[in-house]
Formats: sequence, structure tokens, C-alpha cells
Amino acid sequence: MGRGERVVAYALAPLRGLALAAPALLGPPLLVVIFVGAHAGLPSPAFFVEHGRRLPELARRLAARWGGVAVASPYRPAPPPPVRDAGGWYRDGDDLFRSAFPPAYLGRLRWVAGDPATWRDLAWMALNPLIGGPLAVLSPGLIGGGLAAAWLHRPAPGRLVLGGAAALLGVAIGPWTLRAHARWTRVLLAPPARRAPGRIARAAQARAAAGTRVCASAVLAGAAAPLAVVQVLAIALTALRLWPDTVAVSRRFVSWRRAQMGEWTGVRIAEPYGPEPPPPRPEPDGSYRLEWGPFGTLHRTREAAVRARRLDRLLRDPASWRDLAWLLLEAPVGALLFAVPAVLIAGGPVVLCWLWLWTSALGLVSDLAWSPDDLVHAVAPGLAGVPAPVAGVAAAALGLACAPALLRWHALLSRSLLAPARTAVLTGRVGALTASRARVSDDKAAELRRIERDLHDGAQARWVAVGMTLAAAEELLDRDPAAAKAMITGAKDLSVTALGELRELIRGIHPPVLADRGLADAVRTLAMDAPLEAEVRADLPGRVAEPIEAAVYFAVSELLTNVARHAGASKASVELRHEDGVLRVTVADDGRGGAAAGHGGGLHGIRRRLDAFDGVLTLSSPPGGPTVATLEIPCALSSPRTSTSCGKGSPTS
Amino acid sequence: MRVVLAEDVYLLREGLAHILRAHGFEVAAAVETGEDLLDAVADREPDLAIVDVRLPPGYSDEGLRAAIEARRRRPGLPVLVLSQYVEQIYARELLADGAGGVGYLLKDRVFDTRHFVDALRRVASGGTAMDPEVVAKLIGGTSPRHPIALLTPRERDVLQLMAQGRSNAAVAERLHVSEGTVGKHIAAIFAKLGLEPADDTNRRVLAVLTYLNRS
Repeated sequence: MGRGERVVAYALAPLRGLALAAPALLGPPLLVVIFVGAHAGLPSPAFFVEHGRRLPELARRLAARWGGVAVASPYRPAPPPPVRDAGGWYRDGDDLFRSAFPPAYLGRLRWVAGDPATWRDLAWMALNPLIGGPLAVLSPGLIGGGLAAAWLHRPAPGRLVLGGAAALLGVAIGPWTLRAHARWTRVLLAPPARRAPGRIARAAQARAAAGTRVCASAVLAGAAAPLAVVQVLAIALTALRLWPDTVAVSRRFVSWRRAQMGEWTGVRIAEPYGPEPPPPRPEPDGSYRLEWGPFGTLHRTREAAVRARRLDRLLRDPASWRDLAWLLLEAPVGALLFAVPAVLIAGGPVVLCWLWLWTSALGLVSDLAWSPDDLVHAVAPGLAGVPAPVAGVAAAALGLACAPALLRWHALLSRSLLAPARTAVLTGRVGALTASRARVSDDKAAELRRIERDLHDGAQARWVAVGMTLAAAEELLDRDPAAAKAMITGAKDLSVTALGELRELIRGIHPPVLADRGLADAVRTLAMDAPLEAEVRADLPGRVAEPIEAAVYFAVSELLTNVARHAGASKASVELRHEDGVLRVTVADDGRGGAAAGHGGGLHGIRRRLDAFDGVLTLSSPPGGPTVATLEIPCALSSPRTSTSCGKGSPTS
Repeated sequence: MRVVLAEDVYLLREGLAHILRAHGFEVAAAVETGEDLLDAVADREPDLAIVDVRLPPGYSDEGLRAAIEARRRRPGLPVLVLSQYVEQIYARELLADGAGGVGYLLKDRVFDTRHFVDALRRVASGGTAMDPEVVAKLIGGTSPRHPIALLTPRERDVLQLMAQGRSNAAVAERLHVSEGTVGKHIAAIFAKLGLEPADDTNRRVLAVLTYLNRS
């Protein structure tokens, strides 16, 4: 910057400061205009907000031009105007309109309300007169004040010097105040930095969410009552005839609440409902028979039989009755837990703050006598003199303070009725175990059959051939030693082949290296033998039970084979860990992904094998990769024997 | 040549001892466990130890561990490990010390007495004898981007045979080509894998095995 330019900058700075005071002064009136205009609703709330953006845009431009601080415009792009479809309709989400006005109105409303920059603009308008304004007028104020003091007190030399000094100081700090003002402008008007919210911001967000949820819970508790009443009426007045339909509606509501409570509080509640009944089978004469203990009913049509069966199933399912009990209790329990905090959270800011603003404003221009202050005095005479907004903020804070705990209590109370009953859990478990035991014994039988067949057709047959060849050689030994020798060589070759087959068979039953070295080294040999680069990380401070070792070994073998065959991967990694009583094995590759769990019999076979140990296989394979298969088996480790090492082929001994 | 033998199955132990004696080896000791093997190696100072991988009392890999321990106590002690099955991981552990005089064969290979005795002599003289199945696994377990993928099929055949520990003459005989041709193939393999060329057969085999062991 040249000397001349610098002089100009110092000379202009106070004038620019004065100019910046204008946007600061315009902020609050504009805020009021936007507030009133947005509430009026026409032509559109978005209209006022959009045009109100001109002031912050001006402040951004001035910050760049005078303060040297570039402030980017943070607004999201405006939504495109609604497009008429072939049928002449305009669409907004799933709603269709004949006119373009409603979707445009709603779209723009969502656009301005959803943009955080809108709210930052409004906050800036409210705060700028308090912070930006004084900064801007600091320099012209000092100059003007100093000169005025010097002029007014001309005879007093002391005042003259003091006034002159103030004016000089005002000139000296001019450019600096412009820069400071521009930095302040950036604080609220620049796009928010893309960083994780701080601890306090997160806590505030969590509290706000809990507050909203408490209010929602209070309303939803009220919604449970009609569902309960309708069910009771269906039972009492229609002799159960319409009850299944009401249960169907209730179940959707209750299931939704179950999921919601889990999401809100972390208290997970499992679905307790039994499966749908199997379709009824007709008798030879086309009717359907349904037995009820010592009674029975004959149904003429299939629809009637299906209905009767469903009713029967619902009556026997304890979840139906527990749901009904919850619906009946939900309204009183919800009222008890949520009514007061919901009133505090919603009423505090709305009635005591917002309404107070309006009544105060109206009180200035009319003779309105009532104010929320009176409400505070009426409810709590001890708080006389406390302004309503203060009481409102305090009430909301009190409500928010206890919101998370209340939500949690409610979820825990609900769980006692909404989670599956103990007997239902056990019944389900017995069913699952019976099914998995049947599968396991089927698999075992099939495996034994396969081994028997392999031995019978393979090694056994070859040993018979060896014996026969040797017997023939014995016959020939004296008569034709050369032929006998050739036969013995043939028998030797046969036995080598038989041994090779036996080796393969044994490897399929229980790999020797697994028996010798345990899971970690056995998986390492798999990685070494795989035709791709495979890294193994194992952290198993002990040995896993043998059947589980074998299941995991074969599962990893299958997964690595799949990777080599289908994934188009060049690298794979296998990780074995045991944590919190769960053996977790992950097989990941850098291939093209898109593997489907249902695809191929291999994954199905792994699932069946793991099923016997309550193990699960999860597969994550987004298109484009990477694919990660995770096996989780609850099990304990035995005989501490450290086997922790890393890398392909690192020797352990 | 003095040999110490560790094998727990009586029939196999006697059979092996019989074959060894028939080919002019002196069986200095025939033991059943890894502990006994270590004692025998210390007492009898054999030229070669023949060890089964699975030995009592655990019937897991005690024999292999004893063989590695014996080589640690007496560096360079020629050891031939026999097993009913072969694993890369055991081959890698045997080769890890980078010294020669190591063999790892399937028990079936004993049937082919001529080759088996060849392998014994090779190991005893500081060479190596790797089972074809192990070599196939060492070469097969490499990714398609590995330099080995650059070899021609013929060069792969030569690499397989060389890694088993065979001399140029033996490779030439097996592939029905001249020794000169084998020499050219070997030079090409060494160039493609980025290995230092060596004239001595044992050193060359060891270089290849060390290379395979690393990858």
C-alpha cells in the first residue's frame, strides 16, 4: 500500500464507520418486519425472509470491501419452481395440486426455514446493534467527541489537549475498527465451519431433543387411550368379532412406539408377537374345522376360517393382552410423567416469553390490561415481581432438566409390558433350538454319509485293488519275476493315490493343522494357500472349543474362496478377536462388493454351521466394495496359550 | 552316514530303518518322542535327523518343534521332516533360519526309494528337499499381481522343480530338455523375480525358497 493510499484509508475510515452504523440500526426494525410479516403469512413467510437477506448481504459486501475480510454467502440454493406433469398436476412430496402456488409456497417455506443461515441472519440482526454498532462508531465517535470537546472548551488548554488526543486516537484506530467490525460480521454471517459440534452444543441439542420428545410423548400417551377404548368396545359389544381388526391397528401403533422408545432412550424392546397362523386346510367336503378344547366350529368359507384362526391365535398370544394393558395404562401413566414437564417446556417459552412480547407491544398502543406477568403471580404468588420471560425460561429449563430421565423411566415401565413375556421368550428359544438341532443332526448325518461314500468308493476300493494286485504278483513271482515286479510297482502307485485321497478326506473332516496349532495358525495356512494377498491378525489369548474352531475354520475357508473367485480383489484381511465372551472374525477384501447374502450355497452353509453355536454371519458389501463379512460366536476361551502375531507367514513356534 | 530317526509308529519306524540300512545308512538311534530326539542328537552327533511331525505325548507338532530346536542347538544340523500331510506354515518355519540342510516330505515319498534316498543325501550335504505339494502351495498362494505371475508356464515348471531342491541335471532329466536350456530358464526366472544369480545349486535353491518364504 502506497503512502497516499494509506492517508486516504485513514481519512475514510471514520466515515465508513459512520456508514456501518446504518445497517446496525436497521437490524432490529427489519427483524420486527420479518417477524410480523412471516406471521401474517402473505404473500409468503419466505418472501419476507428472502428480502430481509439484503441487509446481511450488504454487511458481507462491506466487510469485504472496507474490512478486508471476505465473508462467503452461506445460503442454500433456492428450490426450482414446481413443474407441471403430464396430467396437469403439480407435486409437493406425495401431495398433488392443480395450481403451482401451494407447492411453490411450501417449497420456499421449507427452503428458508431449513437453512441455518436464516436463523443466523436473524440472530445477527438482533445482536449487531449491541456489538457491531458500537465497534463501527468507535472511531468517528472519538473524533467527533474529541473535536467537540476541544471546540466547546477552547479557553481550557487541558481540555483542548485531551480533546485533540481523543480525535487523533479516533483517526489512528479507524482502519483497525473496520477490520474488527468485519471479523465480527464473519462470526454470524459466514457459512458455519464444518466441524463437529462441541460438547456444550451437543448437550444442548440432546436436551432440546428430549424436550420435544417429552411433549410428543404426552400427546402420544393421549392417543393410546382411544385405541384401548376401541379394543374394549370391540370385545364387549361385538363379542370379539371386530377385535382382531382393532388389534391390527393397535399393533402398528404399539410397534411404532416400541421402536421410537428404543431410538429415544436406548431401551430396546423386542417385538413379542407370535407368527401368523398357517392357512387352514379344507376338509374333503370343502368346509373348515376349528377345534377349541372340548368344542369345535365348522366354517363354510375360507375367509371365515382364516378369521377364526387369527382370532384364536390372538386370544392365545399373551402379547395381545399385554399390549391392551399397556394401552389402558399409557394415558394415566403418560399424564403423570409427562403432563407437567410438557407444560413447562412448551408453555414457558410460548406463553410466558412470546405472548409477553406481544402483550407488551400491544400494551404500548392500546389499553390492554392483561399480561403473562399476572399469570405468573396467580400461579406462584411468591414470585411477584419476577418478569414473565424469566419465569418462562426457568420453567423450560426445569422441564428440560428432567426430560431424559422421564423418557427413560417411561421406556423401562413400558418394557415390562411391551417386551415378550418370559414364557414367550423361552417358547421361542425352544422352537429355535429344536429347529437348529434338527438341522445340525441332518448336517451331521449327511456328512457321515459323504465320508462313508468317499471311503467306500475311494480309499477302500483302492486298497482292495492293492491287495488283489499283490496277490496276483505273489502268483507270478516264480514264473515271471519281471511281470510280478511291474505289478508290485502298480500296487505301490495305487497306495500313493489312496493315501492322497485319504489326506483330502481328513482335511475335509478336521484339518490336521487345526488340531496341531489351533485356530489362528490354521487360518494363517488358509491365508497362505489362498491365491491372493491375505493378511491375518489374530488376538486369541487361549484356544476356542474344538467344534467352534472347526466351524470358524471352514467358514473362513469358504469366505476366502469366495473372495478369490468372485470379488475381483487383490487383497484380503482376516481378523480374529475375542472380546466380551464373543469370538469375532472379520474377513474383508478390497474387491468390487455387491455380494448378496442369499447368493450361492456357500454363505448359506456357513450360516447353518454357525447356527449350531448361536453364531451369526453378517455381510456388508456395498456396490464398489469393500466387502466385510463378520462372524460372531458367543464362546469362552480355554487353556491360556498366547498366540498373538501379525502378518502373512510370520513364523510362530 | 549316521542317521537319527524319530517316529512313534513302530511299523513305520522299523520300515524306515530297514530302507535306510538297505541303502548303506547307519541308524544310530530310533526314538519315539521329541525329547528323546534332542538327547539322541546330542549323544550320537548324527549327520542327519529324520523326524515325524506328530509325536507323543501331545500328537500335535512336537516333532517339528523338536527339529527346529535341534537345529537351534546345533546350527546347520541336516533335518528331514516327514509327515502324513504338508502345510506351508511348517515349511516356512523350517526355512525361517535361512540355512540349508532342510527337508520336508510327505511320508508317501518313501515309496519311491530312489528319489527318497537322493533327497536324504541332498539334505545331509546341506541342500534342500521340499515336497512338490509344499512347493505348489508356496507358488500357488501368491496374488495375481505377484512377480511370479510374470513367469511363463515352462519357467513355472522349472521353478517348481528347482524349489523342490533338484539340481539342473535332475530338472533337465525330468522335463526332457538339455541342461543348457534349464540354465537359461533359471537365469530368466532369477531376472524376473529380481534375485541375485548364483552358480552353486544349493545356494540357488535356497535363494528361491527364501524368496517364496518371504512373499
